[in-house]
Order: sequence, then C-alpha cells, then structure tokens
Amino acid sequence: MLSASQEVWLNRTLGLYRAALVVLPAHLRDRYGDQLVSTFRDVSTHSIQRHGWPGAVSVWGRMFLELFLAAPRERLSNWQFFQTGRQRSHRQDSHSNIGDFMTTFAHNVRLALRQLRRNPVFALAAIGTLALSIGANTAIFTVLHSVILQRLSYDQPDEIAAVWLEFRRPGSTRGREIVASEPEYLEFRNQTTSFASVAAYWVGETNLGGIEEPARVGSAGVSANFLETLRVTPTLGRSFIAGDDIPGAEPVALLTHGLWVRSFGADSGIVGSTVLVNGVSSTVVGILPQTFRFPGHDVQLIRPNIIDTQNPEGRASHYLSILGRLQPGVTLATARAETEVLMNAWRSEFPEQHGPSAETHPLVMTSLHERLVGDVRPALNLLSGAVGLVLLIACANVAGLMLARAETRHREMAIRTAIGAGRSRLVSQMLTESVVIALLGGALGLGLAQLGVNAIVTAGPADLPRQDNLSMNFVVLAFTALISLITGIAFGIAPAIAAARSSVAHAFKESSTGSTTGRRRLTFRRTLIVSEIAIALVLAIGAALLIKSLAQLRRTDPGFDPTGVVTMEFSLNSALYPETTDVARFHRNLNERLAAIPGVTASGAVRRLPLTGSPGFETLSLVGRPSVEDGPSWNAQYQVASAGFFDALSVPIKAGRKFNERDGESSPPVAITNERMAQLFWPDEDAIGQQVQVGNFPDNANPVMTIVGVVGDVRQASLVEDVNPQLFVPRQQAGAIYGGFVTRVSTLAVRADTDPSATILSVRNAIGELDPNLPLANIQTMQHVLSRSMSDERFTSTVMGLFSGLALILGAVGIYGLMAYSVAQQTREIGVRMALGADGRSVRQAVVKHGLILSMTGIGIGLLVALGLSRFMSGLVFNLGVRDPFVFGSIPLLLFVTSLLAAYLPARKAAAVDLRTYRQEKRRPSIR
Amino acid sequence: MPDASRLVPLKPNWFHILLTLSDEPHHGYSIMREVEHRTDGKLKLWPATLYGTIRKLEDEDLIERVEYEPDDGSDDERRQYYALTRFGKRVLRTEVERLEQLVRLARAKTALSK
Repeated sequence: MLSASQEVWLNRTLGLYRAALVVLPAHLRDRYGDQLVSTFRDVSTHSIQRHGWPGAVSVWGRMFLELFLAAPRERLSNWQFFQTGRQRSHRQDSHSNIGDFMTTFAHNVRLALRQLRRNPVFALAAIGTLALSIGANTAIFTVLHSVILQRLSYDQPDEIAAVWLEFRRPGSTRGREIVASEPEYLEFRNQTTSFASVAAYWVGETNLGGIEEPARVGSAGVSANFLETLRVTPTLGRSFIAGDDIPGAEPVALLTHGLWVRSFGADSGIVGSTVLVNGVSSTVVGILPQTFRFPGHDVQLIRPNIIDTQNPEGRASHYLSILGRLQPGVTLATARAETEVLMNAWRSEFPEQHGPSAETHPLVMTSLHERLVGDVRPALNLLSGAVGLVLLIACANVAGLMLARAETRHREMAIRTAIGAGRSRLVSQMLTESVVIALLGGALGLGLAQLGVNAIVTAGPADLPRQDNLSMNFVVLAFTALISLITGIAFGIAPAIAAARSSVAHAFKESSTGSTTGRRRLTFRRTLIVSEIAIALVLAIGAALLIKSLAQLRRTDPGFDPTGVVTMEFSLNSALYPETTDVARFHRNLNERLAAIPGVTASGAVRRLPLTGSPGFETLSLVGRPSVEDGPSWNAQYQVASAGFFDALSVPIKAGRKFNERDGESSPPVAITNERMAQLFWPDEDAIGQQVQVGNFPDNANPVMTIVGVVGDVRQASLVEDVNPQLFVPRQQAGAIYGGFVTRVSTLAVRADTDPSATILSVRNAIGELDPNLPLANIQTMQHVLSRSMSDERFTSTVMGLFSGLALILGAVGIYGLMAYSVAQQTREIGVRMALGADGRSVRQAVVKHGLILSMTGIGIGLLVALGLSRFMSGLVFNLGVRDPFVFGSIPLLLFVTSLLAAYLPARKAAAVDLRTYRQEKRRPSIR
Repeated sequence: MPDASRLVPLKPNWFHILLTLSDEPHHGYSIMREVEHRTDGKLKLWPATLYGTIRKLEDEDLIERVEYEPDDGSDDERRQYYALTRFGKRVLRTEVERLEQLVRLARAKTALSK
C-alpha cells in the first residue's frame, strides 16, 4: 500500500506520462494507451514500495526517457510497414501522414545540419551562446534540485518536523535560535499529541579510540527513539532501544557506513565489540545504512544521550535539538496550534525563561526539510532567477542572429515557395533548424554544467546543505532537454514566421523597410535590443549589490587579528584527566612547551572559536538587580577561555584586566564581559566590579562571579550576525558552575611570527610529547576561519558576478549585432540621404541617436524592474540598502556607455556608406 | 496457415515474450517482470518498447488478447492478458528447433563440446 502523499505524486506523474504518450503513433496510443499507463503504475508502485522515492524517481526518469526514445522507432517502423505492404489494409489509410511526417522531419534535420555546416561562424556563435547559458542553467538547476527540490532520504520526510525556540526583537520574524533544555524536551514529548514520536539530539565531536589510528569524529548524542523517529534501521546489528538512554545504561554506539568502512575496513565482526568513545569503552551495537545522512551535520558516530527523566538538568541549560514525526493526517499547522498551548502554559509557569510574550520568545516549528535548506533558499532562488535571465538574453541574441539569417534567405524561401512548399513546411523547417541548434547547445551545455557543478563542489559555500547529494541525474537531464527544446522554439518561432512570410514577389522586390513585414521586423529588432538592455541592467545591479555587500563584509572588523594564528581542537580523555586539576596541569605543561617554540608570541584556549558559531547562551541573574516581571531576561553567550586567549587573538582589553594564572579553582570567581554586554547590562554604570550568576531561579547556588575586565567585541557566530553579549569565564573556574563538570574540550589558538605550517608542526609535536594518543581536529589558520565564514557570500556574489558579466557581454554583442544589422538594412536609405547631401557626421549622429533612444528605453525599464525586484535581495546584502544609490547610479551609466559604444561602431560604418556600396548591396545582399 | 519459418530467427524481444506466454497468459507488467527475472535483469522491456513489440506480435497473429483469471485471485480489470495463438506456438517451436540445431552444430566442434 502507498501512503496518501505517494498516491498523490504517483497520480500526478501518471497524468504526465499519459500526456507524454502523445509522442507515440496514434494507433499504438489508441490500442495500448490504457495498458501503458497501467503498467507505468505497476512499475512505479513496485519501485516505491521497494526503494522509496529515489527508486521511483529513477524508474520514472527511465520510463519517460524510454518513451521518448521508443517513439521515433515506433513511428519509423509503422512507416516501414506501409512501405513494404506488410501492414494490414484496414489501418493503412489513417496513418499515411505519419510516414510523411517522419520523412519531412528527417529531411528537415539533414537540411538544418547542412545549413549549420555551411555557416560555421553563425553556428559557432549561436551554439556557443546557448551552450554557455544552458550550461549555467543546468548547473544551477542541479544545485537547486539536489539541495532544495529533492526530498530528504528518510521515509515520509514531510512528516518530520524540527522544533526550536527563538528570541526575537518585537516586529521581526526571525531571531536568535535556542535549542531546548531537558525539561522542555520531556514536557514537549509528553504533553503533545500531534506527534507519533518526538526525539532529541545534540551534535559535537568525539575522540574515537581503541583503534589503530585514534581520530576525532563528528558525533551525536540522541534519544533512544531518534532512529525510529526518522524510520532508519541499521543494516547490521540493532538500533538503540528504550533503556539505552537512561542513567546507568551500558555505553553503546552506532557507526555510520562511512566510518565503518574507513576505520574498520567494513568488518562485520565489529558489531558487538567495543571501541573507546571519549575514553569510555562502548559497545558497537550496529552499522547504519549507506544512504543514511544525519540531518544537517556530518555525523559519523551516534550514541544515546543519557537523560535522567526523574531529575533532568536545569531549564536554562539549552542543548537539545528536537525532531518529531507527526501522527498520520496531522498537519504542521495543527501541531503548531498545540505547541502554542504548551508554550502559554510554560510562559505562565516559568516567566523568567519563557516571558514576556509569544512575539518575542516563540516556539518555532517547520518541516525538517525547510529547517535544513531554508537558509540557502533565498540565495539559490536569486541565482535561479538570474540564470534564467541570462538564458533570455541568449535567446534574444540568437533570435537576432536567426532573424538576420532569415533575411538573407529570402530567395531560397521564395524559390521553395514557388516550387510548392507550403508555409507550414517552411516554418517547420526553420523551427527544426532552431531546435537542432538549441539541442546542440544543450548537449554542449551539459558538459559545461558538469564543470560548473565540479567547481561548486570544490569552491562553493562551506556549509551548503546536502552537498554530498549534488549530482547530475535523470531529472537534470530531462530539465536540460526541456529548456533546450523550449529555448529552440522561443528564439526560432519569430524568425521562422518572418521567413515564411516571404513571398515570391517580396523576395524580388527586396526592399523591406517600407513594407508591413519590414516594419514588423524593425519593431521586433527594437524590442530585442530594449529587452536585452533591460535584462542586462537588472542582472548587473543584482551582482553589483552582492559584490558591494561582500566588500563591506571584508571590511567588517571581526574583533581580532587573524594574522599568524593557527588553531586546532582536541578533547582530553576523561580516563586520563579525571579532575579539573589534571586538565589544568595539562594546559600548564602545554603552555610551557608552546612558549618555548621559537616565534610563538602567545597561546590560549577557548571553548568555541570566534566565527565558528555560538557557544550557547546562558540566562544570568545580575546581583543587586531584582528580576522584573515581564522584563527582559539577561542572556549571554557563555565562553570558557584561558589566560592567554585574548593575547593569542589580539582581542583588546578595554577596561580592567585579563585572566591570569591566579584565577584558579580556589580563588574568588571572576568573569570578563565584552563591550556589548557591558553597555547593554550596565548602561549607566561601570561594568567592572559588578556581580553575575549563571541561572535565574530562586535559591540559585551557582558561584557569584565578579566582572574584572571588559574586552572588545568579537564576532562570534558569523560576520553578518550582530554582536551578542558575551561572558568569559576562566577555564579553571568553569566547572564549578555545573556542579563540578570538567571542561575537557578546547580549541587552542597559537600566535607566532613564523610560517603557519611550521607553527602547526611544532604545536603538534608539543602536544604529541604530552599525550601521544590525543586526536587533533580542525587544524587550520585563523585566516582560513575568517575566509570560510564569508564563503556563502563569496559564492553567491561570484556566481552572480559571472552571470551578469556573461549577460553584459552577450547583451553588448547582441546590441552591436542588431545595430550593425539595422544599419546594413538601411544602406539604401542612408545612401539616398547621402546622395541628397547629408554628410557623414549627420548620418552617424542619426544612427547613434537611434541606438541611444533604444538603450535609454531599455535602461528605464530595467531600472523600474530592478527597483521592483530589489526587495527579494534584502536577506542577502549585508550592511547595505537594497536600493543602494551608488549601485543604482553607476550600473545604468556603465550600461549606457556600453550601448553607446555598441551603437557608435555601426554608426561609423554607416557614415562610410557611399552610393557604390549601396549598388553592391543591392546586387548581393550580405549579412554582417 | 501462414509459413512459420518466415518469421525466424526471432528478435530477442519477440522470443522472450513468446517464451513467457508459452506456459500461461500474462499481462504487460507480468511479462516485463518475468523477462527481467529470467534474463537476470539483462533484458528489461520498458513499457513503450514492450507494447510496441506486443503490437507487432498481435499484428503478426502470434499472440492474442484473452479473458483470464489467474489462480491467485490477483486479477485486476485494468489488466489485459495475452496468450500465444496456435501460429505463435508454431513459430516459437520452429525457433527453438532452429536454436537446438545451432547448439548441436556448435557442440559438434571439439572446442565447445562438454
């Protein structure tokens, strides 16, 4: 049995297939149409049941492709039956036209190929233009399809919802995201009825030991029902079961297929044996399927997240992401309404955490798919729109070329009309030519698209979701075939009709500008020029906005100096470093060794490196300031830093002091804030000397920390995001806040004036001397971190820049071609004017003026369209108005100059016309 | 009765469909699966090719449409069943005899004998 949504999609596809049967000969369709559809349904159902959507999409692609491949064969064989007289007589009369069609078609294709061979320059220009633009479209569609359109690879993915909390400014629709705490997750799970199952997870990195080469791998801690919620079953061994995630449970782990192959040589004996996960011996209970991808993260090892349901952690400790599978038939809207009720209950019960209103602190729910790809959607939509515009310009260009060629073929057309070719025959011949050109362009474009996709994979955004999914498949192939076909018809139809209008009389009259047909063509050419300019302007403005935005981003001060800094992450083994003092001793020894490396000027450690995401927020209470009901809650990013961290990254100390070695476990608790926190929390007072506590609840026993310093603002999550309040706590004191929790995870930052690769080597050696089995992860320079944080913006603006550059060049060439052609057409008129006494200058002026009127019209229309579309860019530009006056002023000017040049060159030629050329033109029409 | 030898050798698609129908009637999808199964997936008759071939087999009077109810009760009125005609059986037999003779000839060569 298929689910309701599968039925819907199957029926839609069946409808498409039934419509596509039109390509088959009528008698085959009439006799077997219903059976073909019925078999299509059987094959699809079987495939969906066995392989899910990927299987269905694959067989659909093959069945459609097979239909299109079989159609000409069936038509041809039908026709051969007539020719050999083997066909039964009763069916003969109704189908003789099909044989005709096939001969005409084959003849037209041969003719088209011959025409292209005869005009290699035209062929090259037209096919090249189309290949570039169809290739660009295919590449972007490949990304769009793989990242956004293709459904997630879980069973019934539309039923899976992602849930999180947000803090929003009043009036805004997006805010700072916060994941859930244990009590929130448990209450959500137990008190909602919309979900068949609710799971929670967190993602981090883990030391995997007990194997030949210890490694640091992406890992996730999940509730026992996590895989069940996604409906994923291990290919080997078992899934987690209830009881795996309660205190005292035996440590177990599941490996992804990739990790299993890479680190265990795909040995199935690993199931049941133990590995060291962060130093804890854990039993591998299963291997996940090869197709499994952890939602949104590169996770290779999964283990249960232990929650004591009787005694969960505090409400302020947010670390769990929530996923839920909706009950069959329940919509997201229904589930949202239910969570509203829950949230209202929370708000009245815990006003400190969930206040003051639903507007500023909502519980947000979307489909998992939307959650994973929502962030890239605007950029991809923009690029898809842009690349479509490039194709339009290419169509206009090739249409111009075809039109020009059609004019030179008046005689050929006229002669063919005279010997009996009907108008429809001429149109079909011209259309076949344009479709052949487009298909050749499309085929070449596929190759270019593959190069483009490769480039996107290597140089694209660092965190493009579902990147491993990126490939050209049947759907992409069908897309390319379809747009090639549409393109061929789009740019071919007008010139084809124009050519067919040529009558015998017309061809011999040869003067076109005065006739109705001539005027019509003139209007068509002008429309082409105006649209090319308008579209090129829209694209160039879009690209300029993005490029300027990227430039702004590059100028943004990250709050630290990345030069000469190398960083790496590690997590100390809890068996070897059980106490905070052990961890402290390791860091002290490490610091001594690092200081001894020649060239090293500073080193320090931090929990979460700047520009790599938020370290998590904590709710604080300010000593001496009673919490106001309905007032704001005091939230700050909670960072753990060592004494040397600020020096290592050159973060300036604005007031007070840095941490030092004396801020130990037994000394009075201290903290450092960033400037933003100092201004926001104590606007009229000195932040130094103020006291804060983590957590905001009665009988708060957490240590009271005294602010001893204020440091400059550092961009934590990304360059784009506003700076948030940040609280730094010294490493040795951090554990006390969580009841003796020992912080073993660190990111080391080392500043040196030596070559980064040499620094990395020495630092690795120093760590290796202290702990040879300690795996290191994310070894990189701070410059790289900074550059990576701009990769999204860089990608969008580079691609957009490429597209608009392509559009400008195509546009300029197109305008030049059409203007030159116009001038060539007006040779007679110009000749007459010059014979009547007009000088070269006035002719030149007239031609340029004509061009300028067209370009001003195009620029005007383009500006209006760009202004209208600019709001779609609001989420994509940084620190810049979407109607930036500089961009909206300079780009039209650039286009104006370009079109001036494109009009001036033909004008110069026009002025050089004399009566002799005119006579030559009359004898032998030629095309430039 | 028309001359069966006129149609041999049979094209692979024709041969496999006739062979499938030699035991009992089948509908299009079950022919497709049976052929795929028998050839270990080497020959897959996708719908348009399948019905193109069925059309030719019908036109040549090798197969015909029949009313048929399978034993397992999996009948579906959408489905059209096909069976071999007498002429079809004869053509298939002629083809099999031709193939047998070919194999005998080949086996007679020492290099290929068992």
